[in-house]
Amino acid sequence: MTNAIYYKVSYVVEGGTHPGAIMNEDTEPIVGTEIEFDGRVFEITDVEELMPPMGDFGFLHAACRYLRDA
Amino acid sequence: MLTLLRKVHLFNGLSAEELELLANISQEQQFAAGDLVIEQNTTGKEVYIIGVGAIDVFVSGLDNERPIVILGDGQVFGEMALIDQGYRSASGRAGKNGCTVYQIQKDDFNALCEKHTHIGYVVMRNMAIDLAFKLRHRNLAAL
Repeated sequence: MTNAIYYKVSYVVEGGTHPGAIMNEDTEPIVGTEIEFDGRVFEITDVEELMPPMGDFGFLHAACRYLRDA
Repeated sequence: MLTLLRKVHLFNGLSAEELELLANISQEQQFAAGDLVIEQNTTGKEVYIIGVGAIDVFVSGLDNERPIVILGDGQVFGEMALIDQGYRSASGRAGKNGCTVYQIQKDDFNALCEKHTHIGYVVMRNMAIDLAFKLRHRNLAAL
């Protein structure tokens, strides 16, 4: 999606049951893969650009859904 | 330390020499799971950069706590202390695996920026971007 070296990602959990997370990633999140935060595992269901990239960073929004506790 | 600082968006655009100056005024602190890092409605003059682990951010009401967001590696917490003189707007607790943070004192940061204005410009620009990012996250999380 971008040529960024790092990605600042806003993870939002579907259904509003969890406040989500903001984390840095070295690689772009991919739909269908799993992400872990707050002791739980989520599946990424959508990835979009949240803000245009700047410098070494891309700014992404990833929607995800709860799968299981880690 | 420099490897970590390069991955912190707040410092993106700074040279290796400038990052070294920031590293020199940063103090490492470690917190166990559940430890309070910042308490809402208290005064503070420190900003925290999360090196390893996560911080659970929450707002306390009269009889409850409302989680706001989980902040992970490379994120900045308590940055409003660098901007205003107000009370902390939220609390932060070390996440389930604890966390290592790097603390920068406001007075040390301001003194550095007085001497090296490019650092001040870059950090303040990135801080505005970071606040916009967090606002956009909150808007989406509230849907």
